[in-house]
Amino acid sequence: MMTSNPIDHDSSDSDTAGIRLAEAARETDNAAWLDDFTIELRLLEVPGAAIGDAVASAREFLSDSGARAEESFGSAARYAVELDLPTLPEDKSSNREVLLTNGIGLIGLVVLGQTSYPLAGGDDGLAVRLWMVVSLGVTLLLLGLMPRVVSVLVRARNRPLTVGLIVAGVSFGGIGPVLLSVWWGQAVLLSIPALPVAIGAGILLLAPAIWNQVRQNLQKDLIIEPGTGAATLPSRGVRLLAVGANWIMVVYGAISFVLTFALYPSN
Amino acid sequence: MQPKPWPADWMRAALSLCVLRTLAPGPTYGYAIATALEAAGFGAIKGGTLYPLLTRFEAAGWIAAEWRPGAGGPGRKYFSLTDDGQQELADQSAHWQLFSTTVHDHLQKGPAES
Repeated sequence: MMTSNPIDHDSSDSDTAGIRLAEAARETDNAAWLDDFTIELRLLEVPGAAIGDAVASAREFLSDSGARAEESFGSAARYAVELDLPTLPEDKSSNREVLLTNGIGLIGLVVLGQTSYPLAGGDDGLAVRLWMVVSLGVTLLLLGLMPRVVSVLVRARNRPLTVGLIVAGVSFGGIGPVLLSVWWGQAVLLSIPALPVAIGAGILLLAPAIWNQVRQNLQKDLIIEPGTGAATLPSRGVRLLAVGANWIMVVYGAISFVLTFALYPSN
Repeated sequence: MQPKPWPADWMRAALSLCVLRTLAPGPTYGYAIATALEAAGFGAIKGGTLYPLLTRFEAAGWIAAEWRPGAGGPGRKYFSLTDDGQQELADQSAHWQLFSTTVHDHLQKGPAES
């Protein structure tokens, strides 16, 4: 029972424990907010040194005021925009490279998906049907949206419903052509060996992810800790998110490939 | 004691100038600026309101920023008025005085009779 007696140790101990818990919760929330803020500034293409400065300023204010980040700064996304920091100049060659690598990976993903069905059925030949060519063409047309889809996914990371809808849409887009193969577009244009095509598609899928990973590691615009000039690594969550975004097509392709084998109706 | 928060529109109009004025005595840091403004009667100033202003002033060349080392990290970011900032403060203060007088006179006397 709570009393006002100053020598009531039970009461003061529980109060102290409560304060510590609240403080720990605040620090956890603020650390998560600072991570979100870092990601938002990255998405806005703010240079690493300016990100380090802005994050350290926010951390300093939160430490001084003892406030919760969400109450003091509002949403990380909105605050990142309101700061209106200078951004990196648009690098058109880099944009082209992103489109090219994503495009190659996407072609690998689609072709791998198309070889998985005959391979799962023990058929060495891949009958190239009309629907496959059409779906590949549509995929390439949608390629221009890829960078935007990735940034939308990153922004929506805290809204499971939105992420679910986007993933469902992408999944439907990927699985749809496989389902269509059963019912539609059976006209065979030509027949080619499935295994070499699958291996080639796997290479096309893997190579851009490896290339992007190496490029990311070599050409990092590091977040610089102000005052010290030391480069700081983003938190594990942020790093995992960056790695996940790079490897998402490979993971998706691998899962689809394995699932096709696992779920293929046995005769 | 301030009975209730100032209307947001008024704060938006006055805060830039008052932040510049808070920097006039010498270099200071974010939370100290917010505390000084609260002590002056402006109410609690949130970080999300203050730092975008400071960033804008820095970009305009009115203030300079410098990180001073702390015990275990980068320490604090101190802001100070530049010469341009002092000139801007003087200009805006004079202009605000004129505006304030205009508003005050209008509230006292009402519209001029034609």
